Amino acid sequence: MSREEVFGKINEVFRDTFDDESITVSDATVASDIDGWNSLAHVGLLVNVEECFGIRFSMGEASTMKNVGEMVDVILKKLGN
Amino acid sequence: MEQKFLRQFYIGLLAILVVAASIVILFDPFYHYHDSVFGLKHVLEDRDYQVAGTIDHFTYDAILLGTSTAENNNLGQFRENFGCEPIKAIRAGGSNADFLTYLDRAYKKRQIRKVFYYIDYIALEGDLKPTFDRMDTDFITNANPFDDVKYLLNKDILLKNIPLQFVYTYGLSYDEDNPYSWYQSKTFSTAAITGRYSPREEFLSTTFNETTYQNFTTNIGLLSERIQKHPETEYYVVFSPISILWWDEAYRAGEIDQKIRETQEFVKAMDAFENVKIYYFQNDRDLAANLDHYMDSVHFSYEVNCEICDRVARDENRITAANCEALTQDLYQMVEEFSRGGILEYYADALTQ
Amino acid sequence: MLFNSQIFIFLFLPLALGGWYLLGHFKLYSLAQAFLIGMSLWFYGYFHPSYLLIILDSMAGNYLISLLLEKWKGKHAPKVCLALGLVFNIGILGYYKYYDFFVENVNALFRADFTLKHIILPLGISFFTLQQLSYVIDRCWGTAPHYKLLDYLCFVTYFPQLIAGPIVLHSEMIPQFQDLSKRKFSAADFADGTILFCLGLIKKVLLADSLAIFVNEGFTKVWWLDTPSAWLVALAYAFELYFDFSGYCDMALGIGKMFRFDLPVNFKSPYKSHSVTEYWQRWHYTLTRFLTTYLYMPLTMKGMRKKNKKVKKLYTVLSPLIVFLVSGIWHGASWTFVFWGLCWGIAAVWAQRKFWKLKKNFASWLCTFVFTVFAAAIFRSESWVVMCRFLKAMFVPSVSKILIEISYSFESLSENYVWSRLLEQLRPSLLNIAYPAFLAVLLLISALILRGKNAQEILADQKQKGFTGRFTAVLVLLTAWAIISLNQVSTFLYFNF
Repeated sequence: MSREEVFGKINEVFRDTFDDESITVSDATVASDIDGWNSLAHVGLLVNVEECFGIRFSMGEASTMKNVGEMVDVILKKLGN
Repeated sequence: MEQKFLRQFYIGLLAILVVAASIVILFDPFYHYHDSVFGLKHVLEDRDYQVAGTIDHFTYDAILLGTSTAENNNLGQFRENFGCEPIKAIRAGGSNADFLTYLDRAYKKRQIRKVFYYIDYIALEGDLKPTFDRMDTDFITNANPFDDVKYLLNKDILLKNIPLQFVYTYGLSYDEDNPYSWYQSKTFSTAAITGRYSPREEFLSTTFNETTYQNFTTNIGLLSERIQKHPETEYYVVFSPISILWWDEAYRAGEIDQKIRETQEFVKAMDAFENVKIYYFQNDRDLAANLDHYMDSVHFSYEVNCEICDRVARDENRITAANCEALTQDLYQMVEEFSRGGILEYYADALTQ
Repeated sequence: MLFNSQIFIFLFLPLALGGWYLLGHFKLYSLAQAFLIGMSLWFYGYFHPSYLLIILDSMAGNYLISLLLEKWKGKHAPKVCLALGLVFNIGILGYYKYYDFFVENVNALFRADFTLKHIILPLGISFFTLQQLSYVIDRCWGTAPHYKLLDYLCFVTYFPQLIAGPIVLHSEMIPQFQDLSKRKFSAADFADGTILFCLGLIKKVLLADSLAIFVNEGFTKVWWLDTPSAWLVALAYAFELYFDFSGYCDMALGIGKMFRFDLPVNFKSPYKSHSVTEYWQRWHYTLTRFLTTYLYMPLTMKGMRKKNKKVKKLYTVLSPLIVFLVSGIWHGASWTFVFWGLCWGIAAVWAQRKFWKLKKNFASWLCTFVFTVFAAAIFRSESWVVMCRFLKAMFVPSVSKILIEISYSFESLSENYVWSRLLEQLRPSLLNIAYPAFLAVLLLISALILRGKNAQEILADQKQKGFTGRFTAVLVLLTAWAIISLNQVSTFLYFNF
């Protein structure tokens, strides 16, 4: 899966999670950019991403992602590319 | 930009602190550096901080040592009665070691002609160590110049103690002869103190506390050392009265015998010195049993202090090795009469009359 | 040693800074770090030398666990070490902080008679335990390297954050210690540090300590409080707590800056919050960060991965509750703190309901603030009985003249000494108005300060303006006033007159 494909899928997860069709995420997107991205929503998001890609984040990975770009990197690594 | 800020800030701060410290050094309300200046009165209200400075810098040739019961003494009366210039070295709730520390300090600074030592059983039976560490007053009593910063940069000194010197010199009246006195704000009455007093029902058998007795004996020795070393000084030792309620408590607890024995030993030891006179007021019925003189079982009124001072000056109420057994026996009888005869009923009757 | 003491300001801090930059100047970098550790241990041991053993043990234990992970690459190593780390750190904290509380409750519950040890809580143990726990957990999660001993000791003992936070992370501190370009003195950083330190000192000494006089008197008279006075005491305490804790953190950040190290900002105007969640992002942020990362996240992740919707839902409710209960018991070993945590937990669960999308308006601010004041009252209550009585006074209406009596406590401020003595002589009845008026002024000043810029914002603003002369003058005056206020004359009350 290419980086662009991952971004596409992730964008859908964001829109579902935050119930907002206008969201478009980029590498630099962080929690404060999106309304309602609090710690509960963050966990919901991670679990939705896990389901979407069929992967599982370790606590270390979950706690160190600083922005969407880093999340995508972790996903790509998990998927084996 | 930052350099300018840093320069302005630190120079400004330093300047203010230096000015503040200079004001304290100049007016010196605790007399840590010098006696009062510009004709300001001696305003003495914080005994634990001011006694050391008083000893170091005042002009005097007599010193009054004692706990809270000696606090109300009028220095003017002592000046008149004994022809001396006295200061108060009071240590409320203090130990004998505190008094001796003050006394030694005074001997280093001045010629002491007279010492007035007011006996406090608790001070003599208590710990042999000074109690100066119970408060952070060390900076004012020691010679270390570095910790003086606690005095020099001190909000209370600047906003309270220094203004107070001016207020009392130019505004409100202030009696320099009555430093540290507390009687003005208290009420002395039989009704109030008997109302609070509840004697224990039973009479316990006589007890003897070896530790306090040992302390007492050691303290006699420590005091004797000073007396012996300074034959030029006249020592006046005073056993002030204590209220009958206090004695009643001691009697019922079986502790009175120890007090009497200690008193006798003290008198016998001290009477051996040429330069010591001892005065005994504890068996005086009017002073001990008239509770209108008291605010609690220990603290008596200003009038009692004046009466004691006058009688000592007239050399009345002397106790010596020869008569000490008779006088203490008289005290014992007085206490026994009250304790066995229903002490509260006696005062209840007295009040209704 | 406390930051707000003259020995710290006049002796310790100049020595520490001087030594640090001098050794840095001669490029003795490791020696400088060792010097800093030594100074920090002096700072800590000044309270009580025996505390040193505790912190040294704690550091040795955690460092050994990290070392074990470094050497043992087995499959189970992370899990075993995690368990070890949790048991070790929580064990130390448990013994020193919770032993008596635990025994008391066992005694009450089983009518047993185990003796209490009356262990004196070593200062800062709650802080350095969390700090090291986060490191050990990060090690086990694979997100932290094993550090050199010198760096690790520096990280834990670094005195600005040692006794009251902020709770720093290895990842934000150790790289700074390793960055040798920071070892050269910088006037810009020193100016920033000076300003932050002084603002903190002023907040702590002039505001918090003055408010504390009224609050303490209010709590000693808790049995006589009426409704207005109870709310005012609670309000004053909310202000006191903020000025005290945030002031201390400002001082910590300022000292950090003087050494050219950035500590995380712990307070961001919390009383401007419009919701409970926002409040905990602004109040003691580094604690929230710790609890979110190491407790809330793992717990909620676990729950949200469950397939069963009801279980999922349960976890979203239970995790905030658990987090705040832990926060409560972390703040102090008593049931009032547990209750305090419970209240915050319930509020947090309530706030995360989706339909509860509060707009940022006056009403949402007011609700949040009133709740904070209520929670502050619980936080201050030293026992269950006092707390019940205090809350009763707050919520069961009653009116009396007790407020005047409590405000007389301001008598003890030496600023009030001269005018109150004069008034006493001239018109004593006016004192009944003067002291409550003083309270009103103090609360008003506090409120205005809380509405305005916080320390970080003041600093940023002044840097932009190039430090105005007026600002410098006011800062000098208030700092001098605060320094002089550090010493007072006390009275020894030896008998009950």
